[in-house]
Amino acid sequence: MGRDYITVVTGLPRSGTSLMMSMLDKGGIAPLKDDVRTADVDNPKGYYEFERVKKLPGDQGWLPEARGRAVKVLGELMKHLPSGFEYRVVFMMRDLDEIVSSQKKMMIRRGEDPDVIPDDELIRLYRTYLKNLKGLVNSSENMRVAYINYNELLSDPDQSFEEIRDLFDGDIDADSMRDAIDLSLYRNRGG
Amino acid sequence: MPEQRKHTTVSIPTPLYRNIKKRIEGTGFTSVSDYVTYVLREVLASLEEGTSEEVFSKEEEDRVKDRLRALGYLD
Repeated sequence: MGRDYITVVTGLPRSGTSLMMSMLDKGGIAPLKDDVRTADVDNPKGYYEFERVKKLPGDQGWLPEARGRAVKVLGELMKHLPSGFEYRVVFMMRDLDEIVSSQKKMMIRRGEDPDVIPDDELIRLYRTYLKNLKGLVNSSENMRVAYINYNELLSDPDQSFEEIRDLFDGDIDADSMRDAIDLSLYRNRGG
Repeated sequence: MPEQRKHTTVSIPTPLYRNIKKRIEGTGFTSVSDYVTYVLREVLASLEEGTSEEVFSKEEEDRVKDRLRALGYLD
């Protein structure tokens, strides 16, 4: 029996969403992506993005195509996912200091000012932002969610794999997912 | 009409029951059931608190969105 739900990987930028997309791919859930945004120094293995997602809520025509596959949806766009579908959500979390540090490097490479918002202020904003986002996901009847911590995923993957396996009722090859983990790409560690 | 029951039974592991019984000795809790009810109410209240939206002003929301745009994740 095929998967009749849409697998959604969400979280803040630089929280490990691309890694999770590649892990799910290895585990047997094909990604919905278009390779418009190509691999670069920030994401050497690619972004796993599907540009039409950014057109939500205006463009929802791609959603039937996403059934049975995994699609990356930025946290900001989660509220626009229509109610006519079932979603299994992998919600990526990561130490906020690491996220901010990684984002700043990315902004510099993009020619943006990384210090528009002071780090402390940004972390405060992100905390509230994530809390509200979790509230949205937790209260949505058509969403099942697993919260996966990027730092724990890399340091002790077995617990995270168990949670991912539960989310998909065992219908995923967790052992193969391990192949996607490349510790050499784990930069911007805290501490 | 039969009166609707105000309580029902849930099962917990016996070692946990013993542990709780020991823990509530000398406290105001008169039974393990009272203590478990209290703890569960606390847990549920905190979960509900977690699902209620915190105040996020329009300006704060815009600042986050601007950040996401600068990172290339939002049009």
